[in-house]
Amino acid sequence: MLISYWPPAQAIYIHIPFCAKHCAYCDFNTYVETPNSPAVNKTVNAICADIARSNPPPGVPIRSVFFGGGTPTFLTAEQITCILECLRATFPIAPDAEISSEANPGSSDAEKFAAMRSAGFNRLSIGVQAFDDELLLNLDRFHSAGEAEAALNAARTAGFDNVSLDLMFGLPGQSLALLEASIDKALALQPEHISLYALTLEPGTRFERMHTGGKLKLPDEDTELAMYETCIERMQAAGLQQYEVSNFAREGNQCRHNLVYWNNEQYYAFGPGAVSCLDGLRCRRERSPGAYNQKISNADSVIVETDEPDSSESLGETMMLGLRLREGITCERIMQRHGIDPLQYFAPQLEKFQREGLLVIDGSRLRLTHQGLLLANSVLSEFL
Amino acid sequence: MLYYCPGSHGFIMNQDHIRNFCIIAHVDHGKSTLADRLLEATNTIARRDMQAQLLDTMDLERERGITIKMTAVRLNYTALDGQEYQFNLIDTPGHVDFTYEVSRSLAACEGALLVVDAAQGVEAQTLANVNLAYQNNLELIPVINKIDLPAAEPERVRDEIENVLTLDASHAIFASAKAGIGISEILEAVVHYIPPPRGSTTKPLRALVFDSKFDQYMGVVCYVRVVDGEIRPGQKIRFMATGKEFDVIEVGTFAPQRRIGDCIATGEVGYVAASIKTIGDANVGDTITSAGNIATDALIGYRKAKPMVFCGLYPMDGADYPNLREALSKLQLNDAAITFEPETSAALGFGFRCGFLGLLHMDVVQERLEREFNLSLIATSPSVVFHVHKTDGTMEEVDNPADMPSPTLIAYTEEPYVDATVLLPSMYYGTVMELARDRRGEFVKVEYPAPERVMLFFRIPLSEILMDFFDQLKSRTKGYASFDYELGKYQESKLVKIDVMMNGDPVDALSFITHRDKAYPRAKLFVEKLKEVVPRQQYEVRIQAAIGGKIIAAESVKAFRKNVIAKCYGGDITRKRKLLEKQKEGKKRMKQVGSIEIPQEAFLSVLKIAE
Repeated sequence: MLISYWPPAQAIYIHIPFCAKHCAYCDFNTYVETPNSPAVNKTVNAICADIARSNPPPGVPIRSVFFGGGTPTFLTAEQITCILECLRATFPIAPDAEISSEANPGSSDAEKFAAMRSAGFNRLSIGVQAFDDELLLNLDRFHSAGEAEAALNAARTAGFDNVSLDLMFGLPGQSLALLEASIDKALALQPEHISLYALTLEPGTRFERMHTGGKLKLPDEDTELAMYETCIERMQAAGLQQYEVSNFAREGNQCRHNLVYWNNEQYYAFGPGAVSCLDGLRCRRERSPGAYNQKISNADSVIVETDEPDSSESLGETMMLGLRLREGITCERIMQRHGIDPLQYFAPQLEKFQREGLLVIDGSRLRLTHQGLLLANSVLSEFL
Repeated sequence: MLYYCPGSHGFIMNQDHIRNFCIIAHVDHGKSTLADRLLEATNTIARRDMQAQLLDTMDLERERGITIKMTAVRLNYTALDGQEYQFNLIDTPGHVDFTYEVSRSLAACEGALLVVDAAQGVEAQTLANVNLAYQNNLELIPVINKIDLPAAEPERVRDEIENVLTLDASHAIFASAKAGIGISEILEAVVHYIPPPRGSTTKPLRALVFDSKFDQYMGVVCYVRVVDGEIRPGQKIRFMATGKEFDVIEVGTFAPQRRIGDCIATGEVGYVAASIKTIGDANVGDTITSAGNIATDALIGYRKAKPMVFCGLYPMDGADYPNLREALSKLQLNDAAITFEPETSAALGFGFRCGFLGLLHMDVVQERLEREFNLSLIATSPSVVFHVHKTDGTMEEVDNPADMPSPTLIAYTEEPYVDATVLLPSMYYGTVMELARDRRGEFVKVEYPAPERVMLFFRIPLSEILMDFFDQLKSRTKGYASFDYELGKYQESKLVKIDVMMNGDPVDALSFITHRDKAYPRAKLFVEKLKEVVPRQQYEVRIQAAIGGKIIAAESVKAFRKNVIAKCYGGDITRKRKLLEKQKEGKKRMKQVGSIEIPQEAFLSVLKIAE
């Protein structure tokens, strides 16, 4: 019988909804603010209060914490560590937990990184996007390629031995050669992890408006495909294995927190606009920091949207997320979470995709082939 | 003078005070608005209850601004002479697909208001309707409408009515239905110019069925014009064409709400309900008589509606097949002109071959099936009925390209032609002639009915008219030409069947029959159109057109090579799932033929391949 069983949450996401500037492609919940302004301080306090209101079950250790944004390093070292301290006061955080933060080259310095490292952060994800100043300018990024490199060096100096770089491809004006240069530069810096994203035109962004108006010259599909494949090859050659559609890591450096999402497991979330997944419910918190802060101070609920996937939707999500991983997903795991044998339940789809060379069944493991990964939307939608 | 209706509980109108009339007009010349004004002016309905254009009852009619099913409304009018008159206003459908229905509703009248737009002037359709009115000996009152428009030229239009329609327009009324100008003059003119019905109260009952529709509670409701005798509840009636007999349950009128009455007397118009279960038993054009006192002759003019255009209708989801059958049966209750029978397509599975009066009728039916019955359908390329004479001396009627016999068995082929009339400003004469020639039209004659106006007569295959002819005509004449046609005879024509293959497999539902001389350019254009509408898929799709195995045109749709959402993290799992679900929904709106997904519009793009 189709069920959905959710193991208890062992991950926490913190959303810092501030940036010094808005990037042209970004549709995340973020607001341009002045560092250390009263509004930012209020939000930090509200996030701490939000955390303190949780009542986690005893004896379930937290194995990963992730600060995302926005720009977490937009906060001062004190503000960030204050939130982490709040977490420790409320949740049993495992001693070997992965504690990550996103960082922006423009708002990072050795001192801040050192403070974060000593507060317990052990992983940084630096938003480089490209090692090319002109492309960065196109993206409205406010840092230079040199600053990106400096940020990585600062992280090393501060003692971070698990650093990820975010890169993008398919950017306006980006040629295959420019991308290769960026990749080579990134690999030369020897990060433990790289996230490589294809530019996606999200509704409501400046890029989307420009594209609609015919003012965005993007690489064609064939070039974009060549970029993706080139990157995958270069990274494998440099010892960074692709483990998810857009993520590459040295063995043992896969992002533990993001694996929680791809394994369709539960997580706590705090901060304006953050989405949690608890008791089988996905809940979005109030997006606007002002409203969030107000509701917290009134002791009101900050949840504004709730989605309760039914068993069939939940199974679809498990498939959609799990098949993004290069190792795929095992039948045992699906049976344990959803009470069905996917080999029977999805027999027609599996037969078709195997025949088309998009998916393989490797023992009890369902896994997309390289070709299947390229056409993942076509494949994954059939499991929904 | 009033007199008593035997067996009823009330008085009915003296026959001399009855006026039965309709409004004939080109689409958009203001027929419905005028009808609304007449209802208001006679206090049949208060302005505040007026839904714009009340007579068009179906949503679809209101949206498309056309009248598909007519209704009859009774109006009581006190004339300037102080006398009470009973007006029966019969609405007529305004499209060439429904010519036969128009002729039956005209046969129920003694007169008609001929509405002509004061700016647009006479159109081809006006001419066709006026011809029908002449055939039914109707008295015509020209009404030149929309005189309040800045571009109005009522005097010019009056001359045009005289010259183009050869009609005495000296008593034409200048009106604006929208602004309420000329309404009282129209009402008086109806009294003075339209003759009262001439029928016998003592002869056996004869009533013309000029419309019928299915009502969930009453069964088939017939709209009738009583010519001789009368109809009362309790009476046993007989339909003369079908011989079927029924007991009258209820009679009445619409004003415009249903008003149950005691009798429909000689000369009157009203409805009859007699527990009739299917509309095929109460056909438009049939004559109702009394089963106990049968009339010797039926009223003239009955003819069974004959579908002219056929297409296959297939449910997008095969599981909907029984629902489609049920929906078609229900629609047929209300529209005897639809025919359907099961058919199977190798590409599309189980469906129905459906027959329609014309393309508009087909569109309307398809839209009603989708809207009222919540079905998602694929319609195959529409086809006319070809006559295929075989070498063994037999003849086959082919309305589905898939049924075309093998060329070796064919002696010769024929296709239906129509007699077409185009009325247009003379400056466009050349371009319209060219269009007619391109479409294999045969010139018959040309007339110059008014300055700067040309009336062009030609014979042209019906199949050519199905192919976007109206749109082409409109775009070539900037919308100034008007067009009408009457069905003509079958003529010999060298026809070939063109098959379409996708990745080597024939897609039977995309086959079409066309004239041999047009085969190459049309096959080429068709595969080009298909290339535009077939979306990129996982594999390259090769599209080929062939005659008897010989490829005559080919195109291909490149495969897409990458579609993967780059980012998927905790905050957007729900959104990404919905995004993919939506993509999947989009695929559902396409028909899977083998491993290829073909969208609905592909099947109709064959209509767009004539230059």
